[in-house]
Amino acid sequence: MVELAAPTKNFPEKLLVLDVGCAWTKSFFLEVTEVGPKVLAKAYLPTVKDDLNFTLTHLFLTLSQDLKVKLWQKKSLIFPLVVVTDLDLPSEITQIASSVVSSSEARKSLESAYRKLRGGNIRVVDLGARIFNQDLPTGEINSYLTFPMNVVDLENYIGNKRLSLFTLPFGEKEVEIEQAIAKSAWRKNFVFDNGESLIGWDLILTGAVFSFSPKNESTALMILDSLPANVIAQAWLDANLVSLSFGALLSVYSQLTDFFQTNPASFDNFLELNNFKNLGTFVSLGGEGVVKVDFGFADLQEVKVERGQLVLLPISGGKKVNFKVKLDKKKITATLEGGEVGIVFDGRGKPLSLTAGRVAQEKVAHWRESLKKVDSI
Amino acid sequence: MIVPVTRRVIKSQKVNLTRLVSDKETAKVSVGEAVSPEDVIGVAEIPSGRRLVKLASLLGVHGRREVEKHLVKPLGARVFEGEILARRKSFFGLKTNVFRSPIDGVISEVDGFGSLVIDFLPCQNRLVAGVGGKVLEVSGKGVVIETVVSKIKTKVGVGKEREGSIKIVAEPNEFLLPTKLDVSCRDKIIVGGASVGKETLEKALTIGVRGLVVGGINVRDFSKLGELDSGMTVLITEGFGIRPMAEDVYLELKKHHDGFGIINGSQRELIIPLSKEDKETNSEVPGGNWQELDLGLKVYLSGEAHGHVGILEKIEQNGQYGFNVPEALVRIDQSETLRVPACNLEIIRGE
Repeated sequence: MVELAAPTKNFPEKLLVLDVGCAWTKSFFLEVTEVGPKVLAKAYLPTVKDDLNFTLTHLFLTLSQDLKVKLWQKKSLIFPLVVVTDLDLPSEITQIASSVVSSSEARKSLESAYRKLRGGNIRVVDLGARIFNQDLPTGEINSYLTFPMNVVDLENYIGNKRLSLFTLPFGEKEVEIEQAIAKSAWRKNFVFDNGESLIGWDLILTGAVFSFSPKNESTALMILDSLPANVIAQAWLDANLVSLSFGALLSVYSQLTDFFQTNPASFDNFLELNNFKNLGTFVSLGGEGVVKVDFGFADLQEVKVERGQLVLLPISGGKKVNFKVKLDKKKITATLEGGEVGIVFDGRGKPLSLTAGRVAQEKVAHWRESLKKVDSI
Repeated sequence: MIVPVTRRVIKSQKVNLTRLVSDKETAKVSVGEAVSPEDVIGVAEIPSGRRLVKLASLLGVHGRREVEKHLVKPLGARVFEGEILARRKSFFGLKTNVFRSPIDGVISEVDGFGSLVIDFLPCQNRLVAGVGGKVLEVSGKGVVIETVVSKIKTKVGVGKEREGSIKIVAEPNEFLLPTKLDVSCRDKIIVGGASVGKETLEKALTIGVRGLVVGGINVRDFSKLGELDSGMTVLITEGFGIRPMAEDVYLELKKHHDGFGIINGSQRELIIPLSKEDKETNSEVPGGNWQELDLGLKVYLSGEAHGHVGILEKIEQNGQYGFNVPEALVRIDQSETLRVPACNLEIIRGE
């Protein structure tokens, strides 16, 4: 590993970050070394809204036990504490926190730093438990399911979820329902603005729904179903849900971005160490198309994407392949990177217009099947 | 892992129950007094409305002053139906025009147009103690009685505090159909069923049911009950959808069939006062509403495994559910063990 300069003196050597969400509170203990920040311990617990101290006491206790480090001395925290939340914090917590950042501020800081460090377009897609409190179209949600479910049952599922947001889906059907809700929330909350370039996007996927996605193909289908036509995006799955905490750090300590700019390898290192999974690249053609792939052979290979079909090229992470593709009537040559899923070309019309019923169920099941992992090249 | 603690059934708990919440009521008991459930502890005079009589027109005069000249009863006087209120002579004293009170009431005022306003006599509303115990406090806020009660805590509720006798009309796993309700349910707290629909709710409101305690309800029917009080208080013990009422809840309610209950939607609870002979067996919950999971605890399962109650046997840190949430093994009975995310459990305390 390349030796890097130490961060500026103002930046603490060790610190605590809390991401207090409406359902779960995520806590991280970080150490800032010469190779950048590193998460030494993490713990997650449900957010007890009417007694946040209870959650925090248990989290600090867990971190302290894992680290074998004392976090408290004479009733005060030894290390600086950065909190990211949209909830109203009780005074006991604001008094011990060195900084409190809102989730949108944290997200913007991460996006801004990412743009500076890696270039291109970035979007942090945060699908936390608060999506269950939104009014989303149940008909649309229903159309994403591979099994029949009447709207009343779906409403009741959401109603029960709202009663205890911290519960996790149990069984494949419940996972599928929650992913369907997340797709609808994604389409509602994360629209691509007119005029934004649609090529070269990086998506950071974070939030409860992504943390329990047990199969890559269902996560891949969530991405593809939510992307508009003519978009090329590489997706990173934040499996540890550290994105907003990291964004809060970047927001509070601006010198951290400078540090990463001087030492770009440390940024990649941070993402890798904190389990940001590269799922691969997703190309939403919006219809049929022909993709020419340069595998390094004498001739370009031609891949035909039929209308309504998904084509998966199982190219593993780190491998980059040159493509020629027609997007929005323009010929584009791009270098795309594979990942845990691979590179997927989506020939379906966007936005998807499915009507809940047997036909939609069969279609969704077929799409999911076509994304099932095959051996990577 | 920390999880919520629920006390769905609290048997025999000493509480300080506040009665007489209306500011129009006057307390009829004093501190230290022992009261029985049937004792009247407060009386309220409830206004019953008013009647406007166009007296100026009837007497053939104009304006307030003219009308007041012909009144034979002063303002504020209590009058009875048929009693003469105003008299006017005309045609050189040969013809007398009289006006008699159409109701029992109190002459309130004569307005600028010469109309007479008569208030109906107020109704007297007597509030009974409902519980047996000792009066601890009498204030403008109410009468606080130290008593022993059982409590049923539910998942959701809507409606203000109401009281009535408890009537079981359905088994825990039945649909609470409209046919289960008849006029005998008027002013009662109706209990039973795994689900209640719109038609049953409408019938209950028409009959004059005070409260409804049921296992489940569809979200869309529940939301129609609205945040404003619909005239009936509804408690849902298990959650949304078709959800049979838990056995422990049902059995406790069944024990108090025909007994008196106080139902409160915003508190999500039904309070059942016990007799004087009942002694407190459950004190207030120590600690908060959340607790660290521990082996051997009695737990309630939510999610797909909803409704099961069992004993927590094992916690495995395999983190396959996201958030590194441990997996819990819950023994339901001798032959069945369920694996669920530990965060989907609730600790059952009480009884």
